[in-house]
Amino acid sequence: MERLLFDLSIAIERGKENETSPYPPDLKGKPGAYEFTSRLLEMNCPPDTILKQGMMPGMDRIGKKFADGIVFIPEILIAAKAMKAAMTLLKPYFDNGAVLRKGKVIIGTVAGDLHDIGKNIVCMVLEGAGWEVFDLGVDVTKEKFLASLNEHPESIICMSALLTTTMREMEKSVTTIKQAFPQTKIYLGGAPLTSDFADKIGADGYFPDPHSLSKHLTGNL
Amino acid sequence: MINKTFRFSTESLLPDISLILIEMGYSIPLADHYLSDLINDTLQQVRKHTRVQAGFIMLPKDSIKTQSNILFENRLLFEPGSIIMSQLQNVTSLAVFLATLGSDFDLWIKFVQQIDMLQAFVIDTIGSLMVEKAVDLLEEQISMQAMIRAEKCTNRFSPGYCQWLVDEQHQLFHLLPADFDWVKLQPSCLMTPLKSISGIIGLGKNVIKIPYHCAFCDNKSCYRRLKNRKGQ
Ligand code: B12
Repeated sequence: MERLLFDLSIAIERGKENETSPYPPDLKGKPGAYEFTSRLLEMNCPPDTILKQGMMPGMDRIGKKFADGIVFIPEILIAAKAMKAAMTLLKPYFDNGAVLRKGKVIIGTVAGDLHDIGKNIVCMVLEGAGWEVFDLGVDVTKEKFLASLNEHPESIICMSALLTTTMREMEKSVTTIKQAFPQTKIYLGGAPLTSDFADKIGADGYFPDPHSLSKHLTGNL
Repeated sequence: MINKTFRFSTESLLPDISLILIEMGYSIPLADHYLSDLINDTLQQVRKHTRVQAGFIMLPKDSIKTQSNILFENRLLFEPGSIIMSQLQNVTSLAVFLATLGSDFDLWIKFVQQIDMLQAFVIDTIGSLMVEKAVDLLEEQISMQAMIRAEKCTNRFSPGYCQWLVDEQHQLFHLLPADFDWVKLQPSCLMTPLKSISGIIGLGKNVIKIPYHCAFCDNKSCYRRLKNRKGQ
């Protein structure tokens, strides 16, 4: 079982979705995350163990390699796809409460900004780290963040922006959210942002890449 | 006022596979890269989704004065900051340009994103390189115009780079020719279509073109600086 869990983590890290998937080329024809997960389930391995000792370590390793500049966005996307494939098998266990997520994250690109690839990568990495992610998409107004937070008041908020002009929109959103939900943690990211800016507008932190945010969130649990 | 619009062919803008891989972060050797097939397939489809439009307007000779700011007919036009202004000395006219790949390109990325994020990222990267290339071609055209007028050109500069506030996109858009009406500037200064680049090039008889390098600017997180540091 231990061996299979390790194989699953490698399949996720390398982005091997299933037996027929073309990536990575050196694992062509070999079983992937989907097959390892179904074998583990057949062997009655607890789904929570599959998630925490098989899937999450794989995603964590690739996220770290990305943050360290060893791999690039494609490797993250491939790994996330493998993770998603394996997750479909765990869905019933999430639904019946046999597997618990770490918590909820609401994420969106702020109003006036339509960039979403960076934000989508953050979603994938956080999902891979065991969080339930509500992606509000792009051009998200402060009202939309608030409405979602009213629905899921225990959530963490993540905001993304790519232009300095839309960073100003972040300030408005952070102020509004903190007024209504002072306890809610708000984290920021995107190319032109800095920690200083996050501090200045009263957010709880800036992270340059999804892995460093994920590490921070897990450390805070 | 000279006003020119070009419809560069998709083929003239297509990047080769190694350039795409380098843009994604990979370094040499790139032969037989595992993404090559996917990139190749995607490149075949680009033409269907691209409507390139690139153009510039050249403000009249001697209509521009530069000191600490850019004045057009003695009225303040742009305040690009000291880094860019140091390169715009002796400029007496400006070419204001815009290049875009069109809205279908954005829709294509959006559509593919729902099916395959990896291919969507490949398309996104190709798009960024293509619109940059369209600006390279525009720059050549602007240099030709300058030569005809026995003038020289500066480097190109875009709002949002080197301390120049992206807010000044508003002034820039006022100057664009009417056939760019369909390119919209959002109140946030975001251009739609997304794969668009705007900017200016200075012209003048006594302009000195200084090869641009990052020492001019102090933005530590700018991607051009990070890229140069990686030796790309
Ligand atoms: C490629 C690119 C372009 C392309 C395409 C843009 C696109 N995506 O469609 C083109 C060439 C068209 C372009 C145009 C322009 N660009 Co541009 N562009 C870039 C560049 C090089 C990369 C952006 C990108 O796609 N990155 C890849 C994605 C995956 O990264 P990302 O979104 O940043 O997300 C990552 C992290 O930031 C982080 N992250 C993101 N969100 C979040 C959220 C949280 C909570 C966390 C933890 C992390 C996180 O995780 C992601 C994965 O690591 C950046 C520079 C840079 N270093 O990022 C400039 C940049 C975004 N551009 C910039 C500018 C100014 C422009 C223009 C205005 C220039 C002009 N005048 O024409 C135009 C605007 C275009 C428009 N439509 O309005 C500036 C913006 C800053 C500013 N001054 O406002 C930047 C930052 C460059 C700079 N000066 O340093 N651009």
